[in-house]
Amino acid sequence: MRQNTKFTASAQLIAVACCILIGCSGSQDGTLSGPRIGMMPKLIGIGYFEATREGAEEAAAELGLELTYDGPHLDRSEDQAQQIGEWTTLGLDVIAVAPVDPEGISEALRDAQRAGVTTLTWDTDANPETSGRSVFVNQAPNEAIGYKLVDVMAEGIQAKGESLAGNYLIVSGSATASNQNTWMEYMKQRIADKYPTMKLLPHLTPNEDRQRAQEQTAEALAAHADLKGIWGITSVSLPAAAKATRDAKRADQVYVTGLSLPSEMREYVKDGTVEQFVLWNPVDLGYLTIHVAQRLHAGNLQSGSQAMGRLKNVEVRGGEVILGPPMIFNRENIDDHRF
Amino acid sequence: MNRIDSSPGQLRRIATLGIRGCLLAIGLTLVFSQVQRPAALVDVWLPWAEIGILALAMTAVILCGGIDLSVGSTVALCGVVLGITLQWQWPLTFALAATAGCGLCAGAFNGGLVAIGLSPLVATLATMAFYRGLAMTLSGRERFAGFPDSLRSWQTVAGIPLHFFCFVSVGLATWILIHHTRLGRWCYVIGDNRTAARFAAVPDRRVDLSLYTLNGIAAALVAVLHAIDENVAIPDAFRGAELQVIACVVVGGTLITGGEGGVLRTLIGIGIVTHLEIGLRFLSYRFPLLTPNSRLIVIGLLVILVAIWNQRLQRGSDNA
Repeated sequence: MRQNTKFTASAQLIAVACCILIGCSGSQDGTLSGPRIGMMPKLIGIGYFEATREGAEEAAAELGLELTYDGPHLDRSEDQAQQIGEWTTLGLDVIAVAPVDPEGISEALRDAQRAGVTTLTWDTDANPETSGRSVFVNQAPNEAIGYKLVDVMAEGIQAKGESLAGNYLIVSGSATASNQNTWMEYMKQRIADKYPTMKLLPHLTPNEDRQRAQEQTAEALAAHADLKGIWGITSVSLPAAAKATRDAKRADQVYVTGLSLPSEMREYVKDGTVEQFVLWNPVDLGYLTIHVAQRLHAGNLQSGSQAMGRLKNVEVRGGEVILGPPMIFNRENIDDHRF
Repeated sequence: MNRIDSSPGQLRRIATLGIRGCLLAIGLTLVFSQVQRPAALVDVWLPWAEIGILALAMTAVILCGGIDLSVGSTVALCGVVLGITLQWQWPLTFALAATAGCGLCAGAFNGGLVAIGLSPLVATLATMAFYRGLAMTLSGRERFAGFPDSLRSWQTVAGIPLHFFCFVSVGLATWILIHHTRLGRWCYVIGDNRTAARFAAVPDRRVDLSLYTLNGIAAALVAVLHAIDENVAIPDAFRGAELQVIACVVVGGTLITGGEGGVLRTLIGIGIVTHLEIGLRFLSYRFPLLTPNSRLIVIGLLVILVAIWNQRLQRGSDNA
């Protein structure tokens, strides 16, 4: 009797295997003609990268391309490297990746190129020399983002008629993320140049995890009674920092701003915890990445200012494609965007 | 004891092996039916060889009723030590020795904590955070990239990746250790019943110490392999790797409570987890419904099913 159940179980497993095999062979011959593109975010399942996926899918439908949008569920560089290898094995033509670490995927990208894959980066760059990536699709010049973040904070505090002197905190994402680290460099530069009375505490890296970001911010708020302002410079850390500040009832003393999605921030902007914050349009960034990928693969990506699909003013220069200047979101315009 | 001699027990074993065989076959077909650039498959396997080496070393620890959650952090710490010492312009052999020494110390510290009576779960949960913190602090959260060519030239030996040779040697070494030495027999005895083992004069603390130390050395080996392959050592690397490692051991059929299992089972477990994970990811490219999140469901269900099966097997053999 017992034995029977076991053999049934084995038989079922074999049956499942057969079904999967048939399923695979059935879908083997795709009908789409364009290149097969793999687009990889730093991690999946956060609002920001869901918004970029939306734009990427829009562009893929428009151009008739086969797109797969997938990535690790933790911001782990070695998972990205592994997945690049898998995509190469599967025969993809173009791989566009937002690297968690600028060096971590260099070898994987090189291997992919040797197998004939076109590679590019988006959202955050890999080391151009070691990775050999063709171009970097950048949301906005890093300098502009870093400066804007500091200016928004300084102007916000000065508008309330207070002095800038005091302690400030940056809540970042992953310790080795190239874009976040570059923005922080420019933020420090701006502070040194224009607002020398602002003092930076050591920044926090909660690994794109909202719970950890909130806990770490709450700890910093408790430890520094004189905290003047907090930047959350990822889409995850800003709402977490805002929540921690609101929960600590310090929103009137601590100016919170940074980078995030309107959809994540609506609550905090409406209740006054956050007055204004900075971002580009992530849907457009995903959309642009697919257009660039298609042109790269076809070999007709030209330098200069040009239109790509519905985006009119895209700047291509020196191995970078730039979406445009960063935008400011506040109570007036936060309801105008669906991302 | 868990030795099964009765014929229903034998049949159960064969059925168990059959199910594992089927899972492995499903995994392999999933992978090979979809490969378009077979040469690139080697790059896909290499990271799994690293997980596999860790799983082989972990098998001995789990067999004697322990667990090492700090293994991912240990790899990262060893990678940082390798990076720092090379940055200080140490000769390659010294840097490698320092890396191995770091793995040895980290493992021995785990083993020491367990030997003085801490629960392995608590001890290695603590060192998981401790070693990660050390790696982050020592490196200043910076990655080390661009290892010297003298190290990188070991990437392949006679055209075959170094990973392959290391995986085979570690497999052989653990097989001999677990199945053909006194230390290995002690593992089973301790994992089965520690109190009884103590009364039988088995030096359980020394066994703990040596097994965790060996585990640490395996982590150092993986750190070096990773540096050679990816040309980078990241203090943040191998986060959560312990879960994959433990999954390989458990899916292979080694009891998480110890006392029953072996190297061959872990090898099968590595094969299953590796190819199912790769195969499911390949599939998710064809079927958008199979999102990365539903892949987690599949892997989770698999581990639950295997755990239930192991539990039943255990109960069955106790009755026999």
